[in-house]
Amino acid sequence: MIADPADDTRLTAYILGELTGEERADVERLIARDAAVRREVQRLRALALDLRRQLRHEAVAAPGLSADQRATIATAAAPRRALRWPRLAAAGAGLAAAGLVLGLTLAPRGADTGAVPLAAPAQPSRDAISGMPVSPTAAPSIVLARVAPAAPESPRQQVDGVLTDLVEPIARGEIEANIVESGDEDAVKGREEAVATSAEGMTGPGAAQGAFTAIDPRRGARASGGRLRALAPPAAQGGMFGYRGGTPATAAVASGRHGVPPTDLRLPLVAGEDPGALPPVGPGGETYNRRADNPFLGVAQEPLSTFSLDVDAASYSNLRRFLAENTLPPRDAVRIEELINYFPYHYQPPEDGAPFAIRAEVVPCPWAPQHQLACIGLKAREFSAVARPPANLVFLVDVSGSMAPANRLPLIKTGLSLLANALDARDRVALVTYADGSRIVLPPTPGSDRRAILQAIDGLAAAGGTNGGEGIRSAYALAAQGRIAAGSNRVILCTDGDFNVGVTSREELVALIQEQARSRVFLSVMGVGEGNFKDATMELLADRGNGHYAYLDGIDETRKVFLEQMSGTLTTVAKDVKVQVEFNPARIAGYRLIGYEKRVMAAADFRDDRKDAGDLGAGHTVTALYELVPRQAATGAPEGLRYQQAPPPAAVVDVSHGDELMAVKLRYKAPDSDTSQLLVGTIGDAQVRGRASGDFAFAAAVAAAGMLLRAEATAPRAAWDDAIARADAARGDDPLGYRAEFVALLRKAAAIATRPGRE
Amino acid sequence: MPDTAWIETVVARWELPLIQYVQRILGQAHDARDVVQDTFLRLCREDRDQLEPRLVAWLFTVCRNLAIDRLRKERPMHVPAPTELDEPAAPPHSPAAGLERQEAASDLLGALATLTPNQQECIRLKFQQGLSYQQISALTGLSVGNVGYLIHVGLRALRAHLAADAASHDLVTPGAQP
Repeated sequence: MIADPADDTRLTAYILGELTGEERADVERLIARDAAVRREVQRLRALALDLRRQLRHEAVAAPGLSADQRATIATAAAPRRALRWPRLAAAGAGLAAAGLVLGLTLAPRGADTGAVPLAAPAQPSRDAISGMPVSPTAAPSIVLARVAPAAPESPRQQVDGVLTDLVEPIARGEIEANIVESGDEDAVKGREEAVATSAEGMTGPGAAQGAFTAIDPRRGARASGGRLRALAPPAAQGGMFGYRGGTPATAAVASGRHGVPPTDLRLPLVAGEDPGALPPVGPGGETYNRRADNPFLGVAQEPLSTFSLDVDAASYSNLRRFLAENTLPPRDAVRIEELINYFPYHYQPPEDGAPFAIRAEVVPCPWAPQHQLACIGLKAREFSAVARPPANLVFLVDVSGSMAPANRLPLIKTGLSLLANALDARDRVALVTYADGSRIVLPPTPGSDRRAILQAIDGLAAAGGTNGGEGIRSAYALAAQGRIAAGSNRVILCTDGDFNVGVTSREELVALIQEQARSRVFLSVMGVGEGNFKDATMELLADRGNGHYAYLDGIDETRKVFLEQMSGTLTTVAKDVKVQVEFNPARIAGYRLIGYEKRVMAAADFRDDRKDAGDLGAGHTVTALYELVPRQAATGAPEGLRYQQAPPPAAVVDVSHGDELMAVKLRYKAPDSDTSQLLVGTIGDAQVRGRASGDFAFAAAVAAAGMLLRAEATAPRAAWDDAIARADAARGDDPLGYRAEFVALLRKAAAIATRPGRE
Repeated sequence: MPDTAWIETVVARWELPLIQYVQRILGQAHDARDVVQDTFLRLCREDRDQLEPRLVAWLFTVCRNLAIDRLRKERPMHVPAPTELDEPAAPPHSPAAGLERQEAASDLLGALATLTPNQQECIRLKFQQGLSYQQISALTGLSVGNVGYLIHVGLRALRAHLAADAASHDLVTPGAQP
């Protein structure tokens, strides 16, 4: 026992993430039993946080290298002088440092060659700004280099549309520090306790299954089914216009995005977005990409809505973590589709070997009674444990110093052990760690050699810096080495996301991951930690790797992800799943896709098999909701278009499908195929219900709550109460208590959001 | 053969932290940017594969050595030991930023300026640059244990300083709550 805990150097080392193994365990035991030590640790943390913040702030004042100095370095760095090294041009004094990072590390998109969109304050380019937490006012008056594209043959140019996501949010002088920021043990302990389970049995009758038929794209013709129309030849971009009598001229509207002005249709409490606003930086430098809500679109102008599937649910556990700390998450950390898809739904699995089944309902919209809500649910085929294909897994674990706290590496170790216990002789496991360098802890090993695997996991300890790029390379090399042709090959990256981009550019990393996904080695990302957690990075990595991304905020979530979902994640039943909905203008005036903002695709991409999309693992469910403005509810002709006649002439509308509201088209590829297949079905009067059945009522309640959360405390108490009541009433069959927990979280969020004195 | 793209990213990532670090060693009379430029020029001659695993420590070490060399040339009579650096000549905050700075901020940074030079250096490397004890040890030549001790004692002194301040100003500061 120590007389004065303030004398104990180990406590300082502990809060700085510098202790490992036995020493760390010793300190944790001490903390657990001695209140004086706990207070001391808290005081130290507060001081550390304060120091870090203020010293980082101080860093902003430093001036950067001059243009001449840059040019000198550039010359020395160029393998062949003058030719390869881009010319350095002086940019305006107010140019944010962000521009430098962008210009130096990223090649422009194909079409923009020669004109990198730098963040100039006078003319803010949204692309350049989003993801960059650099305040123009804080930009020091220095000269920054704007760099013309390097070698044009660079494969980077193929990374299309990734630019904004790639931009690492390093503000001037903002350094990723491996400092433990807040009370990790408190975060684990302080989690909202799940309310006791109350099984109320299944609610509602099974909703009608839509009429869906598989169509072989190579035949270009449809199978039987009275509701289906002949398909356009595959060459036609942008899908089919079944409700337009096949008039090809109408295809042009797909290119423009004319939204109906939101004022008359949109939920009033969702604040509009300021396109010039800088993305928020959460506590401790957490970053989230800015996302506007999908706008309402007029069916006359935009008959097609296309998006990629998403089964990620990381936003939910991140939300839970924020609420556990008594704060609301920043708006952009709330992704409604991820909240909805966090919950298990009891949709019927497909029969007859189809990869998935779809069901749909159209019900009154809970938050806008004059509107309807179309609920579309997908359920992937289930595999029994015996029937699942063998797995070749490479665990890639970040063991840098920042991973030391109990809610990081120890949590990952628990999850990996749970997963290892579920594997058998058919499977292969390897383990790679990375910190300052990468290390192969376990070469590909049969899943039956459980002792060796568990021992390797057990021996993981955190220390050192972070070099994520190297680790990923070795992990993929091991995955190739242990490859199981007929199995599921996957790298599982476990990290707090604190990659050191100084070493490997994010772009290269993404290119590598994409390339590996093409060779069918997929990537799952398990995120942990708070403070320096890089949500945007991890999500991007998982997306590009045909992967799956989960945020682990505690042991319960770890168990859910590694045990309950991993079997699904390990077994992809369909990849690159895209959804395209065509609305019938005779019935629907306008619509809005709820959530999936970052998943919206151009209509033409639906048919483009080169365009990546989300994957569906065994047993996974995905739910998508559309808010519909029925034709009769629309207030007459002008649907918000100011300069043109909005409603299509009646003659163009094919009235022979008057009982249909919309057609749903799905494209997916079998896991081992590069050619997509198409499923088409319709949703019509047969799917219209007076009230939502159990699962969809709950999904709708989650969506409503998500909108309140995205409104960032501007919603009135009554809206919260309504959302809570609806979620509570729709809990239904909830054997694992997830839905009850959500209701408890909502109560807490409402209390925080409507706290007196809050802006 | 230099790896252009890699050097670009390293410069983008470490330019400012290094300038700031060096400026503190050199004081206001020198331009830290020369030293940092030199360091990056040396980087261009290094082999990426060899250097990458210890890149951060390498960058700071080279900067530190170059900065000390420079001071040594200027004042041949006084050769600072590796851990016995100048008191920072830079004020804890620039006048321009002074108005926006919180009272508490200058308190804390002011308190930091009262610590011994090597305590300050270790604390800055840890909290400002995010280096690990091990990296700090590699570049200062101090043992890992010594680094930990200096930071620990430095933090204690900061708290004591703030507590005294709080008592005299009747203010509550973050590090000094009971």
